[in-house]
Amino acid sequence: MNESATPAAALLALTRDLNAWPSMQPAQIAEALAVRARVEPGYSTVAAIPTPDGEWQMCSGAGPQSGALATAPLSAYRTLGVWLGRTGEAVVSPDLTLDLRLSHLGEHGLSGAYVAIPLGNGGFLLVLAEVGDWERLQAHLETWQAMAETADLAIGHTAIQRQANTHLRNLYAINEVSRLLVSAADPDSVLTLIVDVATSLLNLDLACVLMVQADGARRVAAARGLGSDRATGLVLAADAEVDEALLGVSSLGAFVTVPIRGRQHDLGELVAGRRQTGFSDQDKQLLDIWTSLASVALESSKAIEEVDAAHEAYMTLVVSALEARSVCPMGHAAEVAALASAVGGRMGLSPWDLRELRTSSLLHDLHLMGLEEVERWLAPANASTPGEAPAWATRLREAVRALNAMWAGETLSSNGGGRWPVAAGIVKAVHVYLDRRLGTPERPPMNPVAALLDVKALAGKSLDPGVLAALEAVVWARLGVEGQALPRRPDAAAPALMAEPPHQSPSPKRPEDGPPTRGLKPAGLTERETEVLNLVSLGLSNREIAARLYLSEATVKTHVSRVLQKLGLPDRTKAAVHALRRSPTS
Amino acid sequence: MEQGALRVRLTLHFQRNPDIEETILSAAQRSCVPVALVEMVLERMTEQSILERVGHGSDAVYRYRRPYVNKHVALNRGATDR
Repeated sequence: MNESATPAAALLALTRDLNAWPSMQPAQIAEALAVRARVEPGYSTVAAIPTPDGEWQMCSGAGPQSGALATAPLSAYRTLGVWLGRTGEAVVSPDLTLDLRLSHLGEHGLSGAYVAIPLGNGGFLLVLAEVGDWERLQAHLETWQAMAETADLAIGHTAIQRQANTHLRNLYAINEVSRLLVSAADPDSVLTLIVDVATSLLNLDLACVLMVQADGARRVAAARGLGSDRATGLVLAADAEVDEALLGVSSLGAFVTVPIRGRQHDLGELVAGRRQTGFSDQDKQLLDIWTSLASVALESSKAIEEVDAAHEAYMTLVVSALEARSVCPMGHAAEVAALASAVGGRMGLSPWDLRELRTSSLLHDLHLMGLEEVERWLAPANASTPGEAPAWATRLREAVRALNAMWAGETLSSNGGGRWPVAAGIVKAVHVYLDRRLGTPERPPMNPVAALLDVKALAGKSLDPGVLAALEAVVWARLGVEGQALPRRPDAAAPALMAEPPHQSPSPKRPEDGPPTRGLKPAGLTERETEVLNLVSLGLSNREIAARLYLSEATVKTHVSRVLQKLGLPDRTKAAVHALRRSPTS
Repeated sequence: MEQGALRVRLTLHFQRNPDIEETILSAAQRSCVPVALVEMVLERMTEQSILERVGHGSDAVYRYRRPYVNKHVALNRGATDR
């Protein structure tokens, strides 16, 4: 039954409705109010409530005109003395009763006298009666006001529930992300996570991490928001005078500063800003929790960096020892690692996977030790059985076994899936390519096109086609011809990448040859400049060349400039092409 | 799903895959949430400068923008520069 027998019964019925379904949403509460507000048969009712995104929701009640009331355009209601704005406020005229025929609602076939009761949350209840029921409407006014207050309390309760649920979800999200934060490998990742998660979780327009320096000054360590230009401007200004710079961001409606406390002293602070809304107590509580986690991560990231540096130094020693046993020239592992990392990056591997890929690449000749030697080397002195070997030794043993299997020609699919085959597949493809490219004692060096074609013939057999596609893209990018399609035959390649016929017989690289010297020495170039040119032709950057030749990056830059000047070439790409044309293996 | 939770999830997704490009539709399919909600969230993330948008409407592509990170700031008071 839509209408109740008496106004008092209607109020009681509404209260029972709300108690019966405690999880009712605001629109359902408004609808229950509208339905129960129809205390007499001739009445039609509707209720309106503002939605969180600033719109209005009309909730149809009961009665012959309630459907038309709910579907009438909002603009028509404005003449009723109820101003529906987008700001969440419905302002009801003090004179609550008007003749509906005088309003724009009359144009929509609605007629009668009405009364509009404001709701505390910004909505209203409207009851429409036939003309002539004016006095009876006035008589029920107190009942409707009481019902509106009841509904309003219920709507307010749902808002509190929603807020509590949001807070709970945010706390849960922080708990989830905290694991990422604490396990982040480097300071950049930690800082990026701090500002990004604060921005997205708390819906900020600015998140800025300020760190206290040795001299007591605060400097911006990371910033997100307000558009890149504004953020950069802020950062530059903030390095000088943080407070003034932040206060100068006029578009921020509110901002809070939360200290990042270390174990012994304050590390700095997180500045959070919003353009429009302010910060609630719950927001500040979330920021407090987030900065507590941030301080742990920031303090540990420095320690992680130091551990990483020690690990890198140890790795360099191991790689040097391995290369001493290899027929490959010194620097070979670094070259494989650089190219494999570029291929992994092109394949979209995560930073963590790239890190593992680099380690795998540097240690790809680990099998040269032999499995037995690894067992002896890694087994603890007091271990009586293999089962007592530490976990990392077991992992290393598995890695050596996998490498042995890989070089024995096993296909990727037979390796059992998982993360390892991805790294192994990349390392193997890169190694095979570099063997073709640089040559071996048994095989003369090839130009990039021939090397790629040769390697691609193994696609789907022992090499992963996806890895080969990425390798091809990286090689083209290094040669400065990104996006070019690989020809079907070496002699059909783009002229710029193909070398002229050799002027003399190729001399295959021997182990004692040292670094590759594939190109003939062009007239006027010194030995060192020729070396640099040959490495440029491999697509190596100045930094990589510097590492190969044990020179500074600036020295390499000077050598490259002189090579370009002597050969009359405009850039390093042309120099690479020049060197390839002179290659004896073309 | 609530907008805040979706913002965090998408932020982490773009952060882990900084070179990825997503349309509104692909992000909605990946997150298993309505297209309208994803569109609203991606637009807000663009305002916040977490993402940049190339193109408009259903053809728009969203990419991650790395935040400003100053490599010359000491993270521990008294520690040397990184």
